Amino acid sequence: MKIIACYKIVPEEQDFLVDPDRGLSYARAEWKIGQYDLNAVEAGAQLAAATGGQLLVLSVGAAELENGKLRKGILSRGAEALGLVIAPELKDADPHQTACALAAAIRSWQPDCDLVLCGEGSADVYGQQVGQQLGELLGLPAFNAVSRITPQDGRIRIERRLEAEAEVLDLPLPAVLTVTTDINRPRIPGMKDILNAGKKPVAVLPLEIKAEQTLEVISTLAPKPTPRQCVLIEGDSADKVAELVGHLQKELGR
Amino acid sequence: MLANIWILSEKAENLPELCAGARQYGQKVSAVVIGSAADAEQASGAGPDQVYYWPRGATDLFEDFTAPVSALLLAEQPDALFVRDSRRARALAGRIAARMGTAIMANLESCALVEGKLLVEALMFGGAAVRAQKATGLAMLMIGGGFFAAEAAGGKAPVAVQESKPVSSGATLVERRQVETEKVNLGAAKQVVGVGRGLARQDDLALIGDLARALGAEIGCTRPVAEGENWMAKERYIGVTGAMIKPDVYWAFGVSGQVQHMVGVAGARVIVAVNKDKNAPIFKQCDYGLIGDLYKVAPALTNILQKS
Ligand SMILES: Cc1cc2nc3c(=O)[nH]c(=O)nc-3n(C[C@H](O)[C@H](O)[C@H](O)COP(=O)(O)OP(=O)(O)OC[C@H]3O[C@@H](n4cnc5c(N)ncnc54)[C@H](O)[C@@H]3O)c2cc1C
Repeated sequence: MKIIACYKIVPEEQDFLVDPDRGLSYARAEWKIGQYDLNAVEAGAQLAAATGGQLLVLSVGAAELENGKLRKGILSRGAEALGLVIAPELKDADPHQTACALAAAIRSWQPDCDLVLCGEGSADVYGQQVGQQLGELLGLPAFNAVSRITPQDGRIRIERRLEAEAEVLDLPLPAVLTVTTDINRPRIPGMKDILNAGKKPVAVLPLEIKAEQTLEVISTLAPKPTPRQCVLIEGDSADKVAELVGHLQKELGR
Repeated sequence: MLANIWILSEKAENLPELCAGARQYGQKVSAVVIGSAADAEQASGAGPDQVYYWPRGATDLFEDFTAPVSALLLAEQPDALFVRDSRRARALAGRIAARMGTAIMANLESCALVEGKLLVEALMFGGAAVRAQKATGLAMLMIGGGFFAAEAAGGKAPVAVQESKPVSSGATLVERRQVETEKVNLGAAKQVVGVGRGLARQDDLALIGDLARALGAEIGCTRPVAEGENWMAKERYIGVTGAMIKPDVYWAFGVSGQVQHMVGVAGARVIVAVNKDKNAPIFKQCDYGLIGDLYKVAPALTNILQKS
């Protein structure tokens, strides 16, 4: 089975700089791989191993994708090769643009792929829709909330976890699946995996479509801060705990 | 006002909320129902002007109604489509959005009508940012439970039964079964004790249970405790993608204070944090912080409360 796992890189929110007008800059932020995309990559690696297949990883975005450490980071998780579409138009792309760019990349780079996997949601927009949009754009069956994938002769069986139901479906391949965050525990790559990752092929692919923005961004600001008192008590003896209770009694007026 | 807003929910019982919300911005509200005749009937009384009803057979997949619903959207050209959040609805809405050439706006903070367009504020980066945005085409909004309040509706809207059929993507249903869920209403609790990964073992939840009983509090947790560890029901996790709560007191035990979690308790009157790491980010976001071991603090606190 030839599998593609899609992922997105995002700036670390803990590194954001906020000015007094709630303006926000991530110029100094480290970039990271979206946490829940790692579940898609892990699911792909496990399926590739189980079927004697091949896992590839794919991302679309702007210049931050040049980051060598992140390329190694994603390739150290069981993938054989990486495809990247790097284009300035894809900076801050909306979910529809992202899905269009991914669909075009898959068509030109790996038209014969059997399965595309996505994470539950990106760590920035978290719109939980790119997998579904991608499936529709590629004309393939697409399902979200997938908590188990079992390969079968030329088809796959999936289990979905919905709010109060579990649903088992049989799908023809190719297909696009969005996995849950607890489908697996993503591996922690070892030193050897990271070293090997540096030798794996990276294909930089052109953006072959005109991906027009469908959402007009008016502003992106830090949230309004909630003032908190930050009274700290150091130590966990019974006295300190009683001190804490004292504060609360006063605060709550009893 | 917008001329026409469509509303769509997997469960008809959630339509009154959506309808009351859509009425704030739209002159005409049309409800999409993919379900049973009883669902259509319920939708008809939920307050819309019109119901488009697609009967769904026992083995029909909700998601396979992408083509017929999209075709009617293209024909009718409403200004907006409000979708009540659920996993199936997200799957269907994502496919519809691809056909309509738009992106769904989700994780909403607010929605307002500005110069004839919906201006939507949505949380980003797990709550570390708020983005104000407008759709250039069809505005699709994913609406969480409680975002709009239902209003009493009178009358019955006409139901137009649709002839167009679902189009199978090739997926076939093997089995569907109910799974157990917990009914908790963290949103209504006056006090909530939240547990994070600082807890070492599931068995240790007993400590927190004792404390919660002494406080008369509900128990919640961070996302990794519910998903990953699976120590508590998913209904109990708090944060940007889980429950958003407004208790008088939120007690956080072994919670580091990542933004994705803290957004969910921003409305708490008082936040108390117990964490053994004095550099934990939560100490900058709490009213009272105790730097110490939760394994000592929780029983000591229970003890004091039981005595008083
Ligand atoms: C898209 C996205 C959405 C997310 N949505 C949510 C969400 O809605 N809700 C949510 O909660 N998370 C969410 N997360 C996850 C979030 O980023 C954090 O990973 C999570 O909140 C951290 O949980 P934690 O505080 O329990 O664990 P950790 O960050 O591991 O913190 C554990 C803390 O326990 C302390 N500790 C350890 N032992 C003890 C002890 N004996 N006594 C006292 N303290 C102790 C440690 O010092 C540490 O600070 C989301 C992530 C992403 C990417």
